[in-house]
Amino acid sequence: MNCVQIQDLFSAYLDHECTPEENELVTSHIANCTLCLEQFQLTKSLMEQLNNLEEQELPEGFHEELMHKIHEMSPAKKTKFVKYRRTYSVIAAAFLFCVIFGVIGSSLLSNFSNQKFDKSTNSADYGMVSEESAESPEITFTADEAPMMAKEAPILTGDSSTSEADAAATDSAFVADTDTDTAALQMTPDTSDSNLSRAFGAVDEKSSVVSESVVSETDMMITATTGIEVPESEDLAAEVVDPSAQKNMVAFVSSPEPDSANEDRSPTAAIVIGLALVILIISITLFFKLRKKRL
Amino acid sequence: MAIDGDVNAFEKIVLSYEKKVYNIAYNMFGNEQDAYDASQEVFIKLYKNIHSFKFDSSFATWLHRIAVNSCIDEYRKKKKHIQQAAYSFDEPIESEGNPIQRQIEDHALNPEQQIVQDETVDEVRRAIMRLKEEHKMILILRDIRGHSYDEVSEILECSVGTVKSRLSRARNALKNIILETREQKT
Repeated sequence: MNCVQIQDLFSAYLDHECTPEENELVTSHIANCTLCLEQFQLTKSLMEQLNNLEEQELPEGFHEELMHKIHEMSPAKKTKFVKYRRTYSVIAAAFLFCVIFGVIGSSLLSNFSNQKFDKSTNSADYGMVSEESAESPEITFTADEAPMMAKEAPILTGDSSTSEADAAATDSAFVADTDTDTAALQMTPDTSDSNLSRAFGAVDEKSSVVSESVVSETDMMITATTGIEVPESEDLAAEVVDPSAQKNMVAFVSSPEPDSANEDRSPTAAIVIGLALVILIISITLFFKLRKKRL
Repeated sequence: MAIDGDVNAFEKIVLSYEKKVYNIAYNMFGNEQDAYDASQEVFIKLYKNIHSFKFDSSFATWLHRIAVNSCIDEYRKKKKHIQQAAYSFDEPIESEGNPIQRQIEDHALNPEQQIVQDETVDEVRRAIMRLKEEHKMILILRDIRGHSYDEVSEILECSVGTVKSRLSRARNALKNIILETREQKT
């Protein structure tokens, strides 16, 4: 091998990457060739100097500045409130729902129990009412948001032990305005002479907002009750829902005796319920908006 | 993983490798300022691309690969500026705060400029700066940072045979520069 070839092996030789044969060739050559030995020593020295080059220390503030840049690059941290915004809105909506539910339920309960207490003449009707109440009829307030409203409908349990028994029901029609987007429940006094009826429900036959399942259930109950009640009271005719003909209407029989106290209560209850419903709707809307934002 | 978790996890990576990366950059650029900028850039690139790590190599290898490629790219960009400025030899040697000018001063083979403190180390550092990027980097990885042939071949994504031959050429080139420098001195 000539000097050029040998010198080409120096690098591998110094890294112990040569084959035994190559090692031997190099060793024997440099023993006899001063030029190559000189080159070999220089190469070796250079490598050693490179190996011994001092490691530089990190400049001051390097780490801090780097992490600062990295932090700036990453998205902003959500505050705890923002993070749980959705949960808060759900809780708020649920709370409002309970309030509304409670308000409606209690006012209706009080009306209902008043009717029961005040009824003295029509024992049969009362019996019917009791029977009806025992079956736990479900009244739905017709509105565009039928499913929502269906949930809200108070379940009349006919619990006569309610403390709001003082309020007596008058002839009043509970009408849900189905023409508007929001359900506005209005209690309108019923000037009818009917002593046996109180109608709750939609008058508008065109709007089919009451959920079928609820209607059918209620229809069944009404059929059971009105079947007995109608012959006994002609006054029901105007108000009582004919389940077979008008599916949209839901009728409920209650005490006819007017009670001044109850009359006073009804508008107040109506206002409270109305307000509560509006608040609920707003909160639900907000909830969905926030949900959309989050997504 | 939470956003905060990402940054915290990344900081651990930074702590493990920042000195190593800085030193690679320092040996490449030859001065603190350029090395500082280049190595910060390496970690920013790393952070941006962390999700593209495909586990087809060790994390250290992948990190070094980014460091090496980033430093070479940045060096080439700077080299253009240095070369353009290198032709104005009649400009004063003592210049104020121009980093490119200072780089030329640092690495110009002007005998009057040489401070005889640690001649050998300086001599070697200056010689390194005159190497081509590929030769410089392979010497940095092997001789300065002490990586094995296998590690170097993984980082540079070439065969061990290529590493062997490139190292040989790089060392020869360095040797020749030193010899040339010494001849010029005498």
